[in-house]
Order: sequence, then C-alpha cells, then structure tokens
Amino acid sequence: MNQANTNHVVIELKNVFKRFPVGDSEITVLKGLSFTVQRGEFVAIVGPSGSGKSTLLNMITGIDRPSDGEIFVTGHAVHDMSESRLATWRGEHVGIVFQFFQLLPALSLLHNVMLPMDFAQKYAPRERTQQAMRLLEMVGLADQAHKLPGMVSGGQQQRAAIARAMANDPPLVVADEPSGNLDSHTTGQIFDLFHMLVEKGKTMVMVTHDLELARQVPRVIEIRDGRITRDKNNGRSTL
Amino acid sequence: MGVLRYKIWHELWANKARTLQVVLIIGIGAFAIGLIIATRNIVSERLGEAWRASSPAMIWLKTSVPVDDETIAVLRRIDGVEDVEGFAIVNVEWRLRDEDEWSPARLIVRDDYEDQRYNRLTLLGGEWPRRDTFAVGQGGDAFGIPERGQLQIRANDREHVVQFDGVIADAAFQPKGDVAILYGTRDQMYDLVGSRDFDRIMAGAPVYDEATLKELATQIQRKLEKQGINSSGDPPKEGPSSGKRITNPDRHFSQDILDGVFFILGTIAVFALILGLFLVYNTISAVINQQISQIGIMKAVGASTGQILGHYLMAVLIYGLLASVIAIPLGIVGSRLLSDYAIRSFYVEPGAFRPSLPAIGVQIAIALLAPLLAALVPIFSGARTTVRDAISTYGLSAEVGLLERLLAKVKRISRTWLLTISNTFRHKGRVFLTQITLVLSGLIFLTVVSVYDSTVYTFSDVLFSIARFNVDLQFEEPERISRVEALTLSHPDVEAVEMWGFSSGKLRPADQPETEDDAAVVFVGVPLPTTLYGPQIRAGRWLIPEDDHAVVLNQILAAEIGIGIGDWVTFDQGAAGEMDWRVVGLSFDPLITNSAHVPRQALLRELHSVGKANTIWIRTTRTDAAGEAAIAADLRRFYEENHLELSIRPPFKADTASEVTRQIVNEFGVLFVLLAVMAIIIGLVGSIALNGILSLNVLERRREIGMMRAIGARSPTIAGLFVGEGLLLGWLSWLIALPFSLPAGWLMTRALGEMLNMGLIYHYAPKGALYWLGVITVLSVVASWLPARQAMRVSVRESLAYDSI
Repeated sequence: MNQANTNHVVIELKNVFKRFPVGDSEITVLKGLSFTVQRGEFVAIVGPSGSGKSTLLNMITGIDRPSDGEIFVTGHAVHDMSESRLATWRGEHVGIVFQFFQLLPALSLLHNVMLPMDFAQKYAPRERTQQAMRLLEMVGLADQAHKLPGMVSGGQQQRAAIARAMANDPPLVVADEPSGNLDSHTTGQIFDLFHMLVEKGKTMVMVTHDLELARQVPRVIEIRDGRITRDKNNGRSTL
Repeated sequence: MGVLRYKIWHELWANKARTLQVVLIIGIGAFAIGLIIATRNIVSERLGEAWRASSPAMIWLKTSVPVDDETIAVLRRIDGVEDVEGFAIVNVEWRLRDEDEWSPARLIVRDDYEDQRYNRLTLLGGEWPRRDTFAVGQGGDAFGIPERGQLQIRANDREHVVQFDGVIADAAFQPKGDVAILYGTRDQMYDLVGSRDFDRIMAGAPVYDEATLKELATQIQRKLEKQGINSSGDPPKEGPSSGKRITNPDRHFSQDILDGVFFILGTIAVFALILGLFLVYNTISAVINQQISQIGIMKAVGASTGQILGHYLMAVLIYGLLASVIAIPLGIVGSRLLSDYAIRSFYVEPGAFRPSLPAIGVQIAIALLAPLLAALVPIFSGARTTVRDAISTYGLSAEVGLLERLLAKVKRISRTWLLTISNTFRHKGRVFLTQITLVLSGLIFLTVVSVYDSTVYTFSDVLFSIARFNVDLQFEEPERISRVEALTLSHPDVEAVEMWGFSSGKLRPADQPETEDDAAVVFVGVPLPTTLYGPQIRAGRWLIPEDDHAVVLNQILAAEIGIGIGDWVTFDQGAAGEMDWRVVGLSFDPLITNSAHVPRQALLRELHSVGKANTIWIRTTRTDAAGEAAIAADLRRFYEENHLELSIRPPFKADTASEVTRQIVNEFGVLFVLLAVMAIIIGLVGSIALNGILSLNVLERRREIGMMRAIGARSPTIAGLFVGEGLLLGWLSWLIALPFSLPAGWLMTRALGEMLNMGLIYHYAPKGALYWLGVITVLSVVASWLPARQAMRVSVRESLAYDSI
C-alpha cells in the first residue's frame, strides 16, 4: 500500500480500463491507462468531449471503479476499497472541485466549508469555525461567509467550493472543469488559487477542455478515445 | 450532527407548505388515536367511579306481582345473600298545566331514602321525597320540569296535584326519549296506585363472582316462585328481555357498548394514521429523490452512509416532534370536550379533568416513531446511493413505458389531456400509495353511509313490511278479545285490529335440563291467520291455524341455543310452569331478536287466559307520523271512555310504528355522528395526501413546466394539467373503492348489529356512491388548486437555469 508513498507518488494508475454497457453491447471509455503523478505536481488532463477525462477523474477520486487495472491514490488501493471506506478516505485525502460548484443550497458558505470537517472529525468542533474562516479568507470570501450560495456569484461559489475542498487539508485536490461555468476574469482568479495551493505543497489535478488554460499548467496529459496521446511536462513529452 | 442541523431547519422553513402538510398529517393521526384512547380512559374511569360510588346491586330482578317486606326478609335469609332491597317502578303520566298533554313518566319508589343499601341515589338539590313532596330525576329540565314546584300526576285514572322539591341523580337509570323520572315514597305510591309493595329486587353478595351470583339469583327466583311470583332479570339498560340478571359492581353497565364504540372509532383513527403515513413515505421519497445529488456531494466530501442516514432520520424526527406539539394539546382539549359530553350524557358530573398520561405517551410514540418507520425505506435507499449514481447528468428525461407508447398512438384526444394521463401515472409507486389513501378514505365514507342506510332500511322499510300496523297499545289487564276487537273496529279511523298475547321466560332445548344460561325469550301469541304481521321466514314455514304447540323462532335465538327445524324446545315460565313446543320455522324480526311466535289460542290456554289478551295492534286510516300519533291519542281516550284501562308504556316503548322507528334510529344517532366525524377526518387526510403528492409533482417537474412555457403553454393550461391529474386520481380511487364498499359495508353492518344485539339488514343505496363522487371531486379540485397555482408561477428562466444541486 505504501508503494506510491516511498516514491512521493500521489497517484499511480496501472493499465486501467473502464467499460460501460450500452444496450446489448459495451463501450470502452478508458483503454489501458497508466501514469503517475508526483507530490506537488500540477497536472491538467485535456481532451475532446467524450474522450474519458471525467471518467478518469472519477477513477482517481473513487467515485467510479475501473473495470480492469489498479489505481493507487495517496498510498491507498482505491480500486479495492468499499463505498463506505471510500467516503471516509475522500474526506481526509482528496478535495474535489466540481464544474457546477455543488454547494449545498441550504447551508451558508461558511457551513459548506465546515461540512467535510464534521464528516471527518479531524478538527475539534470549536476549531472548525476558525479553520473554515481562515480558508474563506484565503479565497477572499471572509465577508460573504454567512451568505447562502444562491446569494453570491458563480465565481464566488467556485471559490467557496475550493475552500471546501481544502477543509480537511487533503494532500490531493482534483477539479473537474472548474471554469466551465465561469467567465475569463473569474477563471483567472480560480486558476491563481490553484497555483497558490500547489505552492503550499498540494498536488493538483485538473480536467479541462480549455487548451488556453491547460497551457499554463506545468504538466498536461492529453486523452483521446480513452488513451493517453500526450503527456507533456514543462515542454518535455514523456510519451 | 454539526452544520447539517442548519440544513434541516432551513429546509423545514423554506418548504413551509410541505412541512405543514407532513406535520399536520402525522399530527392528525396522533391526535385522533390519542383522543380516542384518552376519552375512553377518562369516560370509563369516571363512569366506573360513579357506578362504584352508588354501591350497585349485583342481582336485579323484576317480579310479576309486587312483593311485600315479609318476602324481602325471607329472601334476605338465603345463604350467601349479603342483603336484599326492594324498590318499585310505576308507570304514571304527568303534566305541568291543565292545557298540557299528559306525558309518560316513571315513578321510582324506594323504602328509605336516608338509608339506601344498593344503587344509592344522590340528592343534587332540594330534599329527599317525603310525605308531601316528590322529587324529580336529573335531566328533568329537558322535559320542562323545574327543580321545584307543582305538577299533576295521573295514575289509575285519578289525577293528583303534587309538590316536588328535589333533584336526584341515579347511576342506574337515566331519563331518555320522552320519559321523565320522578321519585316518591311508599305512602305516595299507595295514594296513587293503592299499593306499597315493590316490583323490583336488588341483592348483593360479599364478593362478586358471576357463577355464584347466578346461582344466588336462581335461588331467589325459586323462592319467589314458591309464592307464585314470577321474576325475570332487569339490570340497568338491559331490561327484562335480555335474560341478564347480574351486573358487575366494578364495571359500569354500559362499558361493553362503550368499548365497542371506542374500538370502532379507534380502528378508524388508526386507519387515518396509516393513510397519513403513506403521504410521509411519498414525501420523504420525493425529498430524497430531489436531494440525491446533494447526498452524492456529501459522500464525495466524506460523509458515510451512516451520517447521511442520521441526517435524514433526524429531519423526520423533527417532523414528528412538531406533530406532537400539535397533537398533544389538541388531544387534551379534545378529550376533555368529548369525555365531558359523553359523561354528561349519562347524567354524571365529569369532575376534575386529568389528562390521560397513557394517551399522551401513545401520541408521543406514534408522532415520533410512526413517521420514522414510514421513512426508513426511502432514506435507506437514498443513503446507500453511490456518488457516481447520485451525481447525474442534466436535462429532461423520463421512462417510456407501455402507457406512453399507447398514448402516442391516440389521435382524437387533445395533447393536454394525453399529457395529463401520462403525468398522472408517471410515478407508478407513488400513484399506488396515493390510491391506497384515497380508496381507503372512500371505503370508510361509503361504509358509514351503508351502515346508516341499512339501519334506516331495517327499521323502516323492512320493519313496515313485517309490522303492518300503525298503533300498538297495551291494556293493564287482559281484556276479552271479542269485545275489544269489535269495539275498536267501530272507531272510524281503524281499518284492522288484532289482539296478541305476550309472555316472557326462558327457553332451552327440550331434552336438556334447566341451567343458568338458558336463553331469555319473548313468546308472542299470534292470532291466525294474521293480517297485521308479515313474517320474514328464513327456514321452514310460518304458523297455520291448525297448529297447536308449534313455534317459529327468531333465527338469532335459534342459533344461540342450537335449535333447528323439527326440534322441540321447553318454555319455562317460572311459577307458571313449563311447556314444550315444536319448531316449525325460523324467522327474522329486527325488533325482538329473541322472539318465539306461537298460535295465540295455545299460548293463552297455557297462561290460563283463554279468550283474553292485553296487547292490541291496529292498522289506521292514516299512515303519516302525525296522523298515527293523533289516532293513537284518540284511541286512548276512546278506550278510557269505554272503561278499558291502558298501560302507559306499550311493548315497543311508543304508541306508533313511526315513533318506534324514529326512536331506534335516534339511538344510533350519537354513533352515526361519531362515525361521520371520523369519515370527514379520513376525507381530509386523503385530501392532504393528494395535495402533498401533487405539490411534489410540481417540484419535480419544474424544468418540464419551464420548457412548456418556453414553447407557448399558458398558465391555465399548466394549471389544468395538475388539476386534471388531481381529478384523475380522485375519480380512479372512486372507481376502485366502489366494488370493495359492498363487502365492507356488509361487514360493518353485521358487526354493528351484533354489537348492539339487533338484526340489521344490509342495504346498499347508490346515493352513497354519488355523494362520495361529489365529495372526492371537490376534494381533488381543492387539493390540486394550490399545486396548480405553484405550477403557474414557475418562470422559464428559473426552471431552465442550471440548478447545481
């Protein structure tokens, strides 16, 4: 289980396949993917629509399981874990930022950020509010803390979602099309936050269809038809 | 719980209508059940207290002739008897002023009001009866009798003006119908009717034991028979025809009937709760469905299945807590009002009110646990959803099943109606549960109407086909049949007349020895052939003029003693001896369920009263209620003028058939009111459930509604879809309930008849179905109106904009 840790490898995929039933037949969305991500890396996964990007992200976060192959994330065999174990593991090890923000509409921004802390029980109850406020400050939303998601803009919601992703200080943050619903200015703000997280030592994996955005990321993995066609790291391709 | 508690409160407040529906429906169920339990407990306790405080007798007998003090003393010496006390009931007439009509009253006479051993009366005001003053029974104000004053009493054709100055409460006798109760002394009774002796005996034993008391009662009766005195049981409320002689001093004499009534009401209340829980199930299912992506997100950020479960179960628990906040105080107030009403109807003071703690405990348990149970399945199902399944794609989608494919081929119905039909059956599980609620509401309503119709049918249509007379009267003494019939026929308003003989006693199979449990029977001597009685024969045949010791038994009586056609039975008349009769037929008679019809001449011969009888049945020229009453009053005067003395109370407690029917149906009155109230509650529950379901449908179809608006649908069209859905669901439930209402009504009618020991004939009147169709149509429209308004207010922009969760 510690195979990934000794090499500072946060994510390791080994020959991962994913098939989906369609009527009487099957389609194979991921065709034998293998790659690793080191601690502190900022990786963008790009590809056309239907290429399997989001499916790949679901594999990494344990939201979905591979049909074949192995996946190790933060030293855990994600492909083998039960649903309940996965939920607990996610709370402690992975922060997820969704395209559509996915904040609970009935909770304020502050409470949305505190929610993962309540699940993971990592912080004492009295510390959670302070910790959440610090995170909201980090993303520039301390003065909006008590507002409901419906009362703030899309960009503010996404920043709150990033703060939520950081609630339990996970080593890995994944983002699925984080700027899909945002304008270019707001996208820039979000991207700056991601860079800040990486500078703080987090490992960042981002799925995007925005090639302009992907160019600003140190490492880009391109997927087409379920296969990695390019894995470019600081201008050097690893394929 | 953490911050999720804010989510619960926010959602409760943001969805006020839904919260109110769920809380109300749980609250109504808990309230109804608590109300019935509390009322039953309070009424039983208070009536029991009042009953025990009166030191009730354990043995109650009515004698054929009055007994004197010496006889009472002899009975007192029977081994095992603790004490014996006699009293008398004399039928008299009273009026306040000369211009008033005479009304019947019962004059109750006790030996010593200051020293009562059994059935102790309570002086509520004024003074006990003494030499120059009577007293009036509690409830006299209902007859216009004040607490003190003067009134006229008529007995034995003599009128007396008497003073009265006292109001007495009697645990065993309550005034009802048109019979007031008066109390007097033995000397006053002598002045009125020429006798000081008692025709009622009360006795007791040191300990209540039914078997021992039955034996003691038999010994008392045998002692009386040796003196040529017949006797029969006459406990409170039951009367001589019941055959019962014993009452339990620890249990109010009406407790059995009360238990039966409360059982029926309690069952209906449980139904109301169950129907409400269907709405809870549907609502929680819809909420879970609506929040499935939120569940997915919570799991994505680390929530375990258990934490999700805990969150939603807590939300349901809060619904239950809010429901109990409504149900408990309402239940307390309601039980106070209802128990006061019920207790006062027995002329007992309710006393200090104490809320029933067991009822409150049951209400809390129901309000908290019942919705939790109803919500378990959808919550478990939702909580176990995986993140992947929960975070779905967006857009409009729906299953396309057989109904949709069939509707797609229909040509001549508007698309709006096709859409309404398709929408109605989209969530088949939800439709199924909604239908159960509405169908049960309809069933209960239709059953209540059936029971009412059956009662009226039995005691009007059927009764009038059996009893073909309008007036029935009884003479004080047997009178010569030929003289009375001829005299009566000379009255211009009389069409036909017959004199009948009556005698009561015990009945058993002829080959069995006498036992304590021999059935009480009323032998009815029939003039053959009769034109005033139309027997409803269920087996065998009716009597013919050639019959001698032949008997036609009421089928209920025959079943009770296990007798069939061709068997012999022994009729035990106590001191008058026994006689055997052969069963030739079984009949149905709703009025006297322990009747045994025999040839009049055979009965009168056995009673040593050949050619004389004391009951007269008359068919009059007028058959309306007012006409019958006028002719009956005129006939009373007619007989008086011809020196024929009538008793105040005829066999069936009223002079005319219309009045008998009215009194019997009125006795069911309170029960029908209670059943009707429960039917209304059930209907409301059904309506709230339908409203809840339609509101959920609006919520879930917001995007679809927005799309329809985007392509040109106007508000009335949108509203019409949901009102149409409500109507379809309502009418469908009506169609389903109809066939089931037939056996349900039959069962309920039969159960009620058995409970009240009356032969009720089930009668289905189609008007009940039409009433319910009207009610369910109105309820469906009302229930769907608010959701329809919500649907009309959905804007295109809001519904089609991305809604993240």
